[in-house]
Amino acid sequence: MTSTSHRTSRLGRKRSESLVAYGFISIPMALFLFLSVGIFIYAVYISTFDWGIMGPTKNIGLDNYRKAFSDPIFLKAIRNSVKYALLVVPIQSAIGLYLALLVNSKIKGSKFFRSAFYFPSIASSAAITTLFIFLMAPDGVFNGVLRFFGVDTANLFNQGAWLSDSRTALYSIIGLNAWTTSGTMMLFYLANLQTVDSQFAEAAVMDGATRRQVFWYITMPLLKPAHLFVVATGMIGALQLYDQAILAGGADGSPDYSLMTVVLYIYNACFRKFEFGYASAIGVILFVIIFSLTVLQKSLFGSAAWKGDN
Amino acid sequence: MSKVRKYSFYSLLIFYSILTIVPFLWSLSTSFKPSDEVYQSNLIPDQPTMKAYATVFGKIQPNFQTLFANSLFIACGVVVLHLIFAALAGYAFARLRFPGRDVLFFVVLGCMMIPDQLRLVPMYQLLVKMGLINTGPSNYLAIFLIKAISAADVFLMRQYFLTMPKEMEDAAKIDGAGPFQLFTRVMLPNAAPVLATVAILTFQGTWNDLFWPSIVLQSPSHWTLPFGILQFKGQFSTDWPPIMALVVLSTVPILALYTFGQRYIINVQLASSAKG
Amino acid sequence: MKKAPIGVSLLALALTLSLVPQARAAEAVTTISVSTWGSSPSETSALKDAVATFESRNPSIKVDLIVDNDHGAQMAARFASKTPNDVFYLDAGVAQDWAAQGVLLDLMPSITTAKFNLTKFNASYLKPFQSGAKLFGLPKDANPLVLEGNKDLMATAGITALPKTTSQFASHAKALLAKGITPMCVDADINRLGAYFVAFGGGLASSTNKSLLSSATSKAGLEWAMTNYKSGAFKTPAQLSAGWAGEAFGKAKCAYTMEGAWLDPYLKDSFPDVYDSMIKGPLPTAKQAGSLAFTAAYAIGKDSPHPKEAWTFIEYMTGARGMTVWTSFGVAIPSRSDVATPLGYEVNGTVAKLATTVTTPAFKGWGDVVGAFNNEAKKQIQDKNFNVKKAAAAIIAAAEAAWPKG
Repeated sequence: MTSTSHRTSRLGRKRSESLVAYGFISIPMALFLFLSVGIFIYAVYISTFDWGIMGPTKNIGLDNYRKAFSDPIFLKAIRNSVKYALLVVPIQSAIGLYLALLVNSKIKGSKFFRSAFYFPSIASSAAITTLFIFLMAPDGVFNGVLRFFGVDTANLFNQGAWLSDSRTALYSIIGLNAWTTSGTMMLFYLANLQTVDSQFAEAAVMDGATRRQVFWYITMPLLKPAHLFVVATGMIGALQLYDQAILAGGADGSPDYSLMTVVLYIYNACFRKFEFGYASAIGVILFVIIFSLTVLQKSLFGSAAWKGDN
Repeated sequence: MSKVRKYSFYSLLIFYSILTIVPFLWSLSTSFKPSDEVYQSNLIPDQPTMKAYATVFGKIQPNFQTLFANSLFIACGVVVLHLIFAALAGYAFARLRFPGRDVLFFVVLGCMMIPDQLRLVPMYQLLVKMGLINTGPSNYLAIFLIKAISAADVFLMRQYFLTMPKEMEDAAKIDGAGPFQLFTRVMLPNAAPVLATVAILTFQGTWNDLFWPSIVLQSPSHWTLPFGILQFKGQFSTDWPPIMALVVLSTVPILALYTFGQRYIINVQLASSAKG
Repeated sequence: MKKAPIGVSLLALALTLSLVPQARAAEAVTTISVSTWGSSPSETSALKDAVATFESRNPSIKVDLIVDNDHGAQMAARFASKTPNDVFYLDAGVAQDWAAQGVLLDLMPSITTAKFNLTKFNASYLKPFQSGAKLFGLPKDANPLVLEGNKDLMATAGITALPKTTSQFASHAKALLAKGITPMCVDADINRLGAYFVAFGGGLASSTNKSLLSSATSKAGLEWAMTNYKSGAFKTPAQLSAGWAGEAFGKAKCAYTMEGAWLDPYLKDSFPDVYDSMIKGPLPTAKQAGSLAFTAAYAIGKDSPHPKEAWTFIEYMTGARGMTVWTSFGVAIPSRSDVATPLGYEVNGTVAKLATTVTTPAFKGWGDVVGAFNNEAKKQIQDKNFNVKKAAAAIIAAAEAAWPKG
């Protein structure tokens, strides 16, 4: 391919290929530049203003950011969102992987189990959360099951009020979302598992590797693209927790702001206090958090999958 | 597999299936219960009634038919947009070489990290200036504009195109196919599984989305199903059967789509960077 | 092109002709949109009926009623796009925040022109909507908290009448708890417990919007409430698996609750048996009688497209005739002195007229105080072994920390 005799035609081909490529990406890139990058810059601009319902009043520089970091409720929201993401992502990824391995093995009814496991992922969060609130109520089904196993729920430290006790509310939502999202994560792992060549594993077994060794040294590394995708999308999704928080804890993320998330805080700044500039500033901070975590996680997993195969 | 192992394996599968299915059976059961049975723990209603369904098809404003039509229209529109733009961009990023490719792809990846809530204020301001926040039909355009393109879908599509063997392309090139023919005749037909995946995931995401419709759609005649559920829940606080009827009715299309499309989704191969 | 059969053409012509006069009549009709919130189907249908009487008296105005799920957020979105509804409900608690944004229309010019008599309104119901000489809303109704009791559950513990004083409540609570019945369901919410601050001689905010929470009397009220939470005489709706106190009461999970007139139609809809065994009375008194009253207004936006027709609507709905029709359905009681309290709501009406029934504060930032109070209160209660004095002090401190400065 590097022979010099073809250089001119290769150059010509390169140029026409570039033109074609620009043709392909022109509209998508224009949309990205307009709907995401442009909007992002506009958000940064708005975030430097005292901006109410009727529009901007005055430029206040970085005051919105200063205000954010001196508001204890906002700091609590950040802590909640990060804590939630750091807990829910590994749990839902691990369950997703485990489920994928389960249904990927040649078993009877794997199709049924696959559908069943994905089931919670398909309904809307509004519907699921409503259901969940019912199940987790002090006299709901969950406590009924606990009582069946001999747990005296009325004398538990939270009296069985899982969602209305600040010590268990966030963990309950983590449980809910690990349950609903793991189905999606299972799908991504399944997709990757289909591409994994079973020869490697078989060869390893022939060499005397144990199942555990095969899993950790062969299967796990081969699933790297799925790990990357599952953790990246999971993290971004988790930091945007909103529907479940407002449905279970109301706009204040009650009790004791234990369900106050960054996004819920943005929502409140916008629609309860009409501080559009302030809301934009929080949005920018959220972006910075997501960006840093993604970069961190990228360096943890290595960057191979982010690059092309040239 | 030993017998013990097999039994524990299956009981695990069955246990988790119960965890995933029973809550939904409860909502189905509740939708057929008369009001005074809602708080009882029986799964099969003693006196099943269709009253809740009569309510959602007739009494509520906007009724189920309107909500359903809006959800379907918006979801289908967004699916078409995502398919076109993700296929175009995904193909170019995966199979074509051009100056600035890595930079532009990095921009796309960056867009994946921009939270929707950051876009809330500026996007709304923009839509107002464009005159798209109104009670007329152009209000739908606002939703289509917000959701026109998805960086995640471009990423997924690119990863898939990366895995396609080069020989396939080369064969078509020898036959004298131009780049666009190559795209439409060779790449797209072979990308059916990933296209189906993008379509299904986009449909599902748009169908279930609550955030943007609740902010953008101004007229009740434009509302979508999840928004309708929430509205209805607000108005009829604890009248569970009709709420659950709406939940059931709004989940059925997604369930059908998934059952139909699952073989495509499963076949999607996430790109492996190891090859190439 | 195929010719249309002559019959079809004639039919089309006939249709067109028949539509013309109607279309002309329709030109004179203005449709105004009115956005509201609703807590029960009965409430919404009552409003529809009241609106229908307006439409029949004003054939040139048609009303398009919208029931919002999250009225505040949806109105904010509409204000930002400069497309507010012609008329909308304005909650007293947010009125000052909205007014400060400059999105509300001052009603004083219309009031002056129409010679609309404001003196018929209880002044404290007007106050939340006033800013200087401007008035941004007319109170559509009012709603004080009263005590509701479930006769059947009370009878189980041998109780025949509602408790009149806090000490009577204490003995009722003991009797009910002995029978395994939760005495009272009330949320740990300043908009409920505040009634006891007043009953113990304190209050929420002074006339200049300064905090009264840390006064010894308010503190005594809060400590009394916290003692009840600790003994189990009070339970929050969440502790009883209910979305709100009315639901817990409807499910017969508590003998008493303290809500406003909105409870009645809700019970009638969802829990008719409990509705039949409900009795109402004033809240138990301590040093004095005490209750909180809530109000909401009809308002017009600065950018509302039909301000003239909107005013006609408000003038009717908040006038004696419109308010009589609306309150006759028993969702709320009148905010005007010249409208009689509806049948079956005499208790609510009497409580509303008491001098010690105070309207909830309404100033910019009050929402933050409510949020801080409620969050801290719920946090304190979740620990079963909380110390009453310490818990009350922590709640008051949290609320005062959120109090707007200056």
